[in-house]
Amino acid sequence: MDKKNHQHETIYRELENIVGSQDITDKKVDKIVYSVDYFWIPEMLIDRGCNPPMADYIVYPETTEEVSRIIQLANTYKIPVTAWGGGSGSQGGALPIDGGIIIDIKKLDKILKTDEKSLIVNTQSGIIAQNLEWKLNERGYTMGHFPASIFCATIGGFLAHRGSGVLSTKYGKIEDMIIEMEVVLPTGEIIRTAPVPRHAAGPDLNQLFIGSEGTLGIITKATFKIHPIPEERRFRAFIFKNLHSGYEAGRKIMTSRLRPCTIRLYDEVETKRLVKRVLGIDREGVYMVFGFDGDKQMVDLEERTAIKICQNGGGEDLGRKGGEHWWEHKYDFFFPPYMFWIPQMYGTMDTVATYDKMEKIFEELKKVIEKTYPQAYVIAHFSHWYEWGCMGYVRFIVDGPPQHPQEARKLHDGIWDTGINTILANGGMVNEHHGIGIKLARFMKKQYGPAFTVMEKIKQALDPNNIMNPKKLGFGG
Amino acid sequence: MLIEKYRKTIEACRFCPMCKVVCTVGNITKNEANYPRGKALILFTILKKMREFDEDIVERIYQCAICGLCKDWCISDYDIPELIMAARADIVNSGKIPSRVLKIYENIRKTENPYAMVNDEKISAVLDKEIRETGKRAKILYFIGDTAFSHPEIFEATIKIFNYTGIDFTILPKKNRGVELLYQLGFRKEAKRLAKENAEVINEADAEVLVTSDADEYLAFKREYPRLGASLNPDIKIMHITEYINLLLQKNKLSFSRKINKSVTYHDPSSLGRYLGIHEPPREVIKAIPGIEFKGMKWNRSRARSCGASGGLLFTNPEIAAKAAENIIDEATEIGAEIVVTASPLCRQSVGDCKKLRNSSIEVYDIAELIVKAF
Repeated sequence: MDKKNHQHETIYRELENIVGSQDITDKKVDKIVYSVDYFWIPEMLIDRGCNPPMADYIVYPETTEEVSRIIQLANTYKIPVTAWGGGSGSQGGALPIDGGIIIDIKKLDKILKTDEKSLIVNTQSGIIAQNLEWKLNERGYTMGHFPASIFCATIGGFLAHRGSGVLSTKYGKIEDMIIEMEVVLPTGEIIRTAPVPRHAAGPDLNQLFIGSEGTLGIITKATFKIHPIPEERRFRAFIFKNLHSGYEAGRKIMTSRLRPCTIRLYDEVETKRLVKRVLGIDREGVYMVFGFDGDKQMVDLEERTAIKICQNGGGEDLGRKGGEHWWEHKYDFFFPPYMFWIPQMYGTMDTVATYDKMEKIFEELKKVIEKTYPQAYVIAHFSHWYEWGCMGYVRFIVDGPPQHPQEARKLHDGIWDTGINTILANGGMVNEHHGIGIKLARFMKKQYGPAFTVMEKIKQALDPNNIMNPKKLGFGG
Repeated sequence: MLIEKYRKTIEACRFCPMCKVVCTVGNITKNEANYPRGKALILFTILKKMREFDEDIVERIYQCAICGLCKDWCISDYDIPELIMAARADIVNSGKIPSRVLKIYENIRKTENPYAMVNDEKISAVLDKEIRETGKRAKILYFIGDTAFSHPEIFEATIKIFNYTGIDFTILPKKNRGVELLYQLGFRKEAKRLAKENAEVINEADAEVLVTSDADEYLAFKREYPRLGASLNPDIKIMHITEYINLLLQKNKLSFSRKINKSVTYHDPSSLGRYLGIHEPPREVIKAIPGIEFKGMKWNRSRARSCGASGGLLFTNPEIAAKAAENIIDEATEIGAEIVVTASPLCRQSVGDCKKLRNSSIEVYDIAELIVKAF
């Protein structure tokens, strides 16, 4: 028996002692599947017949204590630990690029308590989000969190990368929904953040771990705000002649301090291609859908005001039908064959900025990418609107990328470099809700400047052996 | 390879996780390789010649209930069930059949039944009596199916229904050998041979209506026999027992004399419901029984949860199937049902075994067993 095999077998047995023989695998058939998430690079590698880096073990703990013991073991042997939820991340955040242990959290899937007096729910983090939503719906409640990944992602995954859903404009991003969390630290200690998120007892620990992508620990339980299912929820669509007039209407709705649950504005190309293909609405110009929900009288009032804003901005009212249709088919965009997929090369540069900058960021991005890479085209929609700005869901697509993996990667990374540098130069954020992972790790220092040392020092203090999801989020490994 | 025919499905599903929330086996094991995305990804590596079928891949390919919930959920209807059946046929053709699967095949070869049971005296007594009394030719030909053979109470109840209504019926003189299980496990040659033999016997019986309570064999008659080139006489109408009984009720040829004062829910077998669209007849039959308070499952009709019985899972991976059945018991308990009724002997076995294991107070019946309680 060679040393490597001996070590592998030893660690396997120790992990098996923690989780049981049913909850561990080191089979290659499984490891291949865990080597690919929704990031284009590993998908491309598999497509080209190459193997992305694989984990050595995959474990399925059923309790927080098991998670803690696994992490303690990983510290003993100084091997990497990567948390895996639904595997639907687009940034490579859950990929075991240095091997080691994958902790699949999906067996931590129990809803522990629904407090109808305080309107909060406490759950383990591995529950698939739609399962939680269905359970809440049975009791008349909703999370209000509806990302396209709701059918496959875990709520732990949402927290790990600061996700948002299509109704975030009213219900907030996941970080706005949190009450408190249980986290297993990189050295195995189990901690709870403060019982409520509004206090004056120092910095907010929730916000330290939300978005940390498994580099500062593994979130095992969380308590969220929930809401009664609204009496009324209604959507309405408009067509604007150009992106600017639609953008201005959206901005005015938000700066008028109306509280839509959503505003989505599709540029000319997305309107022509995607809205037509998925929703069957075949119109020139830009498509906008907005929605309001809550008490019927409030919805009536807010909707009336928003309609007036859109009409004053030159929008043509497509009525409720044009909007409801989007709501009914909101996830269809992400099923094959409607989403972008291999053989296409694609990437989503979801950036966020204040209203004074966002339009220019998109204009520059489109101009620079399409000029530098004539084989690429850029499309966008604008969603997740705030009182001060909004997100641009900017995508580049290359229909016939190179077959050779290295050539393909060179082009892919080149477009990303150009795109993110353009975003940063124009005052945008490197990302809004997809997280950083390995895809954007190299931009973190540029994004934060000297402030990134704060994160690095926290990482060093919490994870002295640097075992938690190495090379992600801009941390080394 | 047969999976080549499903390349489009493989390429669509290999990176798509959108049906994860409904996958029967994946949501039990939580292993990414068990979800449709994982299975398509694995099969892509086979197509791409990155790997060959090995013991571990084969194990994962047989860890599927072929329940079709993923296909129903997918807005584009990518057909994972057909892909998995093709992959299993490729595995059989490559000779890399896992021992658990081979054992089922051997049972069928030796005893003509996957349960390896022999036709014991009790079964023979019931069958001989019916065959002798009714003769060979009759209006109704009752096809019992493999699973009901191992649960005489199911076919006894079915026979009781025929007798109660005074219907002229007969039973196939030979054992009614199942095709669907063999087909789903990948044994297409053997399935073809049996389908042709069965078709010959059925055609000879010269009946007007072929009735079966076996939902899987009903699926085989409707879907697999034509594929396998086993020609049933087109003049013979094929009906599931629930369709036939519902017809009797509509024609006032069947009525119930006793009340069943219990709350009852119905578990849709995927073969009958999702694949063949027979959702209402069983419900109408149950609701026609006086005293019953019908409680619908939250997951029902084409979106019914799988009880783990299908796709050979009950035979190849009984521990996973038991957990799927547990979901049915849990859902029934949650909605306050006292009885779970299904219209497939295989589902009745899966859910019934789980009930015993869990020591649940819920009663589990095949629909024929419920009906005779109301006589």
